Amino acid sequence: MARQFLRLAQGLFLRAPSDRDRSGGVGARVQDADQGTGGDDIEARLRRAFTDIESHLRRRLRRVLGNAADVDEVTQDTYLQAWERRHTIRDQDPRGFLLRTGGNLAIDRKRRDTHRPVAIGDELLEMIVPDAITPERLLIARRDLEAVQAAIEKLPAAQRRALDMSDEGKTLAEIAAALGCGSTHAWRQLHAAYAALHAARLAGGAPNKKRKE
Amino acid sequence: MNEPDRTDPSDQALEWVLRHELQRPTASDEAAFQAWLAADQTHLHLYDDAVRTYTIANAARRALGPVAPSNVVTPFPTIAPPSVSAPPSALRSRRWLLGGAGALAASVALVALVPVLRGDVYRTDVGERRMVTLADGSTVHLNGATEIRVRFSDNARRIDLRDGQAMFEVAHDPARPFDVWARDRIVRAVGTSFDIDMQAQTVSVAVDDGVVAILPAESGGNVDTATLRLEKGFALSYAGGQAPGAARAISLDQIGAWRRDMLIFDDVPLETIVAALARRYPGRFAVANRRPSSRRFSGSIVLRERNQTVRDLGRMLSIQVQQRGDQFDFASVTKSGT
Repeated sequence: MARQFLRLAQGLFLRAPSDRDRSGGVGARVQDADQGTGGDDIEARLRRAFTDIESHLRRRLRRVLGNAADVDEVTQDTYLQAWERRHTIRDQDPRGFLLRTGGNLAIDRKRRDTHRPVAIGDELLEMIVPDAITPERLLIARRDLEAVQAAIEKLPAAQRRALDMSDEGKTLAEIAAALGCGSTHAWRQLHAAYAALHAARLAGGAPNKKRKE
Repeated sequence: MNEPDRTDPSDQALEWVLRHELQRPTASDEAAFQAWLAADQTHLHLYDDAVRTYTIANAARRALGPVAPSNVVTPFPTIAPPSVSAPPSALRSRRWLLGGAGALAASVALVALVPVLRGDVYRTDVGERRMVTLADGSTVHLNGATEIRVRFSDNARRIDLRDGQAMFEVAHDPARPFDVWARDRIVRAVGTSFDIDMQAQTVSVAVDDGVVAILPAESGGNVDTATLRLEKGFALSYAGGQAPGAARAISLDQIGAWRRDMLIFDDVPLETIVAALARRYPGRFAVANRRPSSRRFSGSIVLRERNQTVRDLGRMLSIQVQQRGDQFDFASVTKSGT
């Protein structure tokens, strides 16, 4: 069925409706007879990557989330969020970018459902750090994650809050307004937070106090 | 924006990652970044390492959840935090999305009715859906803003699709053909499942199972050589006064996707998508092109709360949507972006 539709779409579909369309799916192709398909290279790469990875992403999400409705929504949100942040892809493999985005959104979904901190299992970890495909790399990723989580708990309150807001998609101006400071100071708070986490990760769980404000 | 003045290359790498992730880098930023990368061959490795930290940090933060508000110490207590008047972030918007999805699900009325009078009329409001069981055991699924009239006799089953979209699952009865009159054509089935979508200019028929015949209305239902046969997995469209277009293959999943809260579109103009939204959601939906556009759209989307769906479509299709209250004007611009 999907192949049939792919043929119809002449390979231009972002994704072909498949059996998964029975309950969900996302994607679009725009064909403009006047000005071609439009979009720059990164947009084309992202579209191709989504086509390549969608079924894989769905399988992973299904293992993590467990129900089809959540998988549909998170898959759609993965594409939309990746599209909005496509300028950050740069030289990355967009497939990994999509997996990471999907992994993060899956964490959000699980946390929202449970109202408790989420235990990141190996399947989620492999999405977030998609190069962690060997046991050794997975072990390193697990160690990194634990080190960074411990460091987050020790961040000064303002840095932690800046970190939360940044990851929730707030702009620097919004973070600054919420913190009651200027954008420059908000940027410093963010930088200090990430620097502390970076140091903690590199030290394997020992946050570098020198880097914290 | 100037190049970071930090002397530690690891700090510089982190600074670049944050700039790339949290800001929209300018052309001069990009040039400065490339120069920084070229300055030392270790910089690329440091940058990749900082990206990894950023990735893991965000996942770790999300897994922990936001810090409880009561534990937050505002560093500048003399300045009251402003109320959150900024546009809702993606995360916040999805919280109310769930409520919207629930309301939508609740609005789907599955009503089994057995018409006992000939000439029964069934209609749905915008956003409403109904399943109607007819006297012969056939079922009709009505999409939003749809109206049908049902007239059964001893030797005929006639449905008039007056407006909207409906999917028919027809009980087998060779003695009484099941005819759906849709503008100037009759779609006839004996035992099959098919969808008819009546839009402003065209009527589309898609067959999910079995075979239907498509006859001119003036034939009165008499099958002749002009009768078209449309088989399972095929669709065609016709406009008033014109011969039907060629049959085209269609994914079975695409047929009746609206019943699964999906909007699937294949090589259609923006007007078709907007019409589907108008059927599904309250409000006024219009295409606001200054000139006719030849853009065609293909894809699929999960239908969620109205405003969320409109935003999703705008992003996915790179179209501009202007909202004024309940009025949505879609503009099929050619420049991509969000």
